[in-house]
Amino acid sequence: MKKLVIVALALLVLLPAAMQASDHADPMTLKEPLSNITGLFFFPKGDQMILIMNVRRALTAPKPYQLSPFSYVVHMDLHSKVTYDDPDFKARYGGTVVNPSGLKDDVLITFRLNDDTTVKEKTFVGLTNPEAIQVWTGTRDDPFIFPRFFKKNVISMVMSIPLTSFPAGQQDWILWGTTHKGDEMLDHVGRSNRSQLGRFDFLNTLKVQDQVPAILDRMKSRDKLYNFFNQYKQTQPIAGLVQYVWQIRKYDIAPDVMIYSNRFPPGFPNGRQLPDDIVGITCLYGDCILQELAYVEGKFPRQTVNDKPFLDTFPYLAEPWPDSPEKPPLKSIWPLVIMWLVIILILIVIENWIVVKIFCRRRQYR
Amino acid sequence: MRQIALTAAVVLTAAVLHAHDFWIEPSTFHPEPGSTVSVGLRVGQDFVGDAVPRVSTAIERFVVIQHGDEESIAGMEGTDPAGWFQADGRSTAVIAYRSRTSLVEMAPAKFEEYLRLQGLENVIKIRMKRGEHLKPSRELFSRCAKALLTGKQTSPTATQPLGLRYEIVPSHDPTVSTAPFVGRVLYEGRPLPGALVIAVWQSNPAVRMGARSGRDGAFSFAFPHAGVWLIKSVQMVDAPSGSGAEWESLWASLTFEAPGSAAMKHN
Repeated sequence: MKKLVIVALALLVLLPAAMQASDHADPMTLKEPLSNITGLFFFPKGDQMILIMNVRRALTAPKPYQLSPFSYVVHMDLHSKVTYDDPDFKARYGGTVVNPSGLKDDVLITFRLNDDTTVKEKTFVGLTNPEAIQVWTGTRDDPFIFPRFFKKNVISMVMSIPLTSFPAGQQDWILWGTTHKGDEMLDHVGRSNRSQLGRFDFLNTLKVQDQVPAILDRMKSRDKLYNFFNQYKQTQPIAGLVQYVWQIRKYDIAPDVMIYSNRFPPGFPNGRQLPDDIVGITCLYGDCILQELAYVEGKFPRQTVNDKPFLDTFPYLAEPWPDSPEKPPLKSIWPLVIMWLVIILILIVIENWIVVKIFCRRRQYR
Repeated sequence: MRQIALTAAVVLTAAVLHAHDFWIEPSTFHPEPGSTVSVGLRVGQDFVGDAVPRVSTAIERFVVIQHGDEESIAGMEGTDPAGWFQADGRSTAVIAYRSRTSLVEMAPAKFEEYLRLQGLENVIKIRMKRGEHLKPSRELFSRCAKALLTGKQTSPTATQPLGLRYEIVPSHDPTVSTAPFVGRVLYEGRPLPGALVIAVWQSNPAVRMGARSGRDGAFSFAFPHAGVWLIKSVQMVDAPSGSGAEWESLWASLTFEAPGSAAMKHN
């Protein structure tokens, strides 16, 4: 019984992290759904580089969307050294960023959108000939190949950037995306299926340069937590949960960035192309929660292609699904908690009143 | 010139190495600033070691000191490498590992052989005097390992004692100096005379040298080759009463990559 209680308490604390991790809805506390990044894509197409950033998960509601407070930013580092000799890191991240603390915004692409998803403002810093960059924004099918997001849309920003806009001979790109409201950073994306994992939620509001020290710090504290629970018979099941959901893995010590190099064929983890089966590929290297959920929520066999064919021409993403009502947002638990606290308080008062009454009556009899 | 009792290089055969060698093997001895360094712990011989996974209950101190700042090394329980840190790169970094004690029992002949190999003949004499030489030994042992990683410049930390119970302390930063290696062995912070110190070359572990520390704990080696070297020494003292053991050994090691002088490279 005691064991059950301990496990139940641990589930209460830890499982939300695991479940939230599954819905490519990071950060977990989704304060601003319109700032929630759902995907970053970067791949070559002829003499162009195609860059796509998607936001707003599970979109089916019609416009307008109140997008004007947010800015959507893609950062590119074109100078930092990337190595490809560590097969583990190459398979997971596309390469190794030698000095993550030294990452810089050599290129900064910023979008602000009108509430109808048209461009309100766009700036390209660090790219030559920016007027040659083709831009498309609007709602499109969510290209993430995962049952929960089939028949759902996202808000997309698509760019076709001439290779000539980058420095001549550029071979390696390190890129990441962020969203902001005023000065506040709300979300981060780098490599797919990374910052939405429960153990990485803290990355979503951290500058990319600060991520590796933060990961090492979390590694220390969570290892301590794991060791604490793992030393007692009754709490060992909790240690198992901590390990699965929270513990930082030995292969996690890398900044959350996307690496693309034209030394290798394109496709995840070397950049990301639209048809890439992120769920399957990331599971090959240890992160399988999305694959499990794809089987739980989807049909057999697991679907490994998108639910709508991609276009052959710009903007490449599939046409959007028709508008439909969205599920109402989840309720807050606080009214329920307050109601129970009030009930408990009333019961305590009644119990004390009864005790006092009995005590007084006994004194009267004496 | 400090007192050095014996500095003559002695070529030792492979047989003299005891399987208890313990050393730190980082992913690189020359980390680039900002890069992540993994820290492997190894136990074995001839520089071929089995990986020692991180076991938090066995660790008393596992730190890196960079530019004067000491921080604990992050890691994941039960895995190899035992830890990771982000290299600062400004100056020579020192990794230090101090284990808790473990107990081992050994047959008398085996124990005596091991004492000889580690240059602990004084313990053999004491056991004989106490009439313990025919009894199995019960010994507490612990590790005091260090490694030096290069930075842009040398650091005073490289030549300072870190407070390990038994410690090999270089007198100059051997990651930048091509001069003969001069160091001291310190037991509980004090120079230990008469300790056998052995140096082993990673590229060819048959190349090794031995020296006894002088009255001031000093010893020296003129490395014939550049490359990664392991310097090691064992100190043995009476075990604390009530510990259930008669002896307590402390295993000190220091790993680093010695830069090559023109002469060394020629060799």
